[in-house]
Amino acid sequence: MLRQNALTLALVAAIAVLVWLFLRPAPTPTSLPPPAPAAESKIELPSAATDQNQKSKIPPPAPERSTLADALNSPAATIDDDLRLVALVLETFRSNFPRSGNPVGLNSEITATLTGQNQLRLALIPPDHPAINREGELTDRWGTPFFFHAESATRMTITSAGPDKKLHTPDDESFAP
Amino acid sequence: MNKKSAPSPKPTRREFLGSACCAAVGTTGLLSALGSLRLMAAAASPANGPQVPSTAAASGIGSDYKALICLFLNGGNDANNLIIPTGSDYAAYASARSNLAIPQASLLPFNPKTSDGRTWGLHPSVAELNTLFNSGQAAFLANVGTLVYPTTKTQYNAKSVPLPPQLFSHSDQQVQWQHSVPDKPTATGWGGRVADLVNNLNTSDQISMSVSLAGKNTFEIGSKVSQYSVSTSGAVTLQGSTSSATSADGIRFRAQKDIFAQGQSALFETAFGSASGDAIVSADLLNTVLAAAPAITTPFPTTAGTTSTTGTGLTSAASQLRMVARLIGASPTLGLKRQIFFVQLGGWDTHAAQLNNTDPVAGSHAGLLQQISQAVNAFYKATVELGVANQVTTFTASDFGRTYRSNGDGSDHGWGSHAFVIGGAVKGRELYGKMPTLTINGPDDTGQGRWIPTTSVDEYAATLATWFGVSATDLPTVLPNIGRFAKPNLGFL
Repeated sequence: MLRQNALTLALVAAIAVLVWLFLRPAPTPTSLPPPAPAAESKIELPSAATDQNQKSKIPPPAPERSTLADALNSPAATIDDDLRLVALVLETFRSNFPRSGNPVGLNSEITATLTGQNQLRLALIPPDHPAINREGELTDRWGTPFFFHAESATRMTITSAGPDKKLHTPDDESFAP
Repeated sequence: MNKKSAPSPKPTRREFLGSACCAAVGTTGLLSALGSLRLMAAAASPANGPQVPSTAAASGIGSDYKALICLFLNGGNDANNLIIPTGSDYAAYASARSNLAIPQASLLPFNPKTSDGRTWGLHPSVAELNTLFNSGQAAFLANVGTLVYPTTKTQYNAKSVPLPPQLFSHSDQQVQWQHSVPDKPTATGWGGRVADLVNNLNTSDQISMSVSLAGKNTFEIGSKVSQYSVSTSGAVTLQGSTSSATSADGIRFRAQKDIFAQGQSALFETAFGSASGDAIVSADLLNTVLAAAPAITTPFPTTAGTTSTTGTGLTSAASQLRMVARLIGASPTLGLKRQIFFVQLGGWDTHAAQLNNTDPVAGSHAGLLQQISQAVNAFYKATVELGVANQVTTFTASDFGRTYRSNGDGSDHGWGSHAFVIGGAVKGRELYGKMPTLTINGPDDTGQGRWIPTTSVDEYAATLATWFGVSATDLPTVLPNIGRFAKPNLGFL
């Protein structure tokens, strides 16, 4: 009887050890890789008074510059190409924000969103793209802001005022994906 | 505040067994419903003819009858040119609106009972509406729009409160106006949810209490009550349907009805047959009832600028509202004590050519306003003719308002907008809600004169639903977000 109890106790102890081995938290590495000296040397400290907290606020690495809209208003392209390219930028935005749909608002608000003012800080169009005017609006090849007409969360008609730079005239060009 | 535990991603065994039981019960209900549909189709077989409810109310419309009509202005009404500042505020209006400004001298005098100190005029094309307003049968609601929470400009700029998703987008804002739960996926409209609650007041549901004159809409989608589409000339019938006993069409149509009424081996086929058979029976019934309903003699406006008492040549809004009046007249025969209608007029998306270049009080927007004004006036008179003016309320809704600042040709998508309500029960000659500060980049502007709504669609809808008979207890069922807003009753009814 005593031997049977001892065996049971041993079995329970073995199971407990096995469970602990499986469930224990993953061991933390005892040594972190040393920081890259090049990165350290690039950080410019604003002043000698910088404290330890400031040192920890190292900006994240700059995201890779998107080339998606590079060909916008290119001399080698046409207005039709431009409109399709802007539609592609919107489609790419939607694929990254499937619950939100297209950016909303006026041209300047839509452009701000497409240039990185969004939750992911995703800049599908670089903020310094030459097609963006001083008012922060995305313009066509004649310098007139594109007209965005939001039909729904996924459908946006994009219109260029055309060479006469006046909307709602016969030379307007529109694209509705 | 009620606390609800977050749903577990994985169901427990108990939850699984519970769900399985519910599914089994649900399947039984479905089978039972399909069986009932089959019985109904058989009972309403062509040999029996249309089943007109035998109701004692056929003599007239009872004092307990009510109807609610949603007049949807599809495209976004530029209400900035419906209620226009006058006096010392006119110069700022004319400056912001530039080519869209309506000359002050042409405005209709607009004197609500109470005033916030500012003075207003109405667009010259809404003379009939102004008459209804002055006689107390119409009221306006200022700057109403979709909201998730009450929102200030500071909160809007800081993004510190959730905003309705896809502001300024047509279809999204139309849907949000019609279901009024902008922060959650919602399968039903607020009109449909009202219908679900009050449908038990009707003694028959052979013809749904929710009728659309403009096809399928979100507003009338209910969980229990389905919307029923009719045309401006009556029920929508199957192509080629005729009661002729000898023509090829008539013989084919009778054969179709017989086939639909038969039980099929496949459940889906039986359900399809029942639904199709029911549609035929409903159409027959409605057209029969309409033919026997009291004729509407009130003249309605025509596209030629005249009026017609027979319904020929009417404008789109007038023809829809005339059919609504006829359906209200038929309500006793249909056994309906509550009816909800959806009427729609398109063309309000006036980005360009909003005004006639040579005449600022003409153009597409002026034409639409005139059409609405004349149609609702005729409709109100028709309800007087039917003796139900105090029991019928018409209200307007639209995707959004439009930018106060002109784009050079017209106006672009905005947010808050003004609406109006008409009916004998309306506490009229009043401007409800709060007019925005009409200043570009002012405290109510999110840019270009897109006003942050000062009244939510929830508050607007709650006031209408309460008048229609929804209790305060049931109001959150119709409008789940109403508790977030200050005024569940705006007082215009």
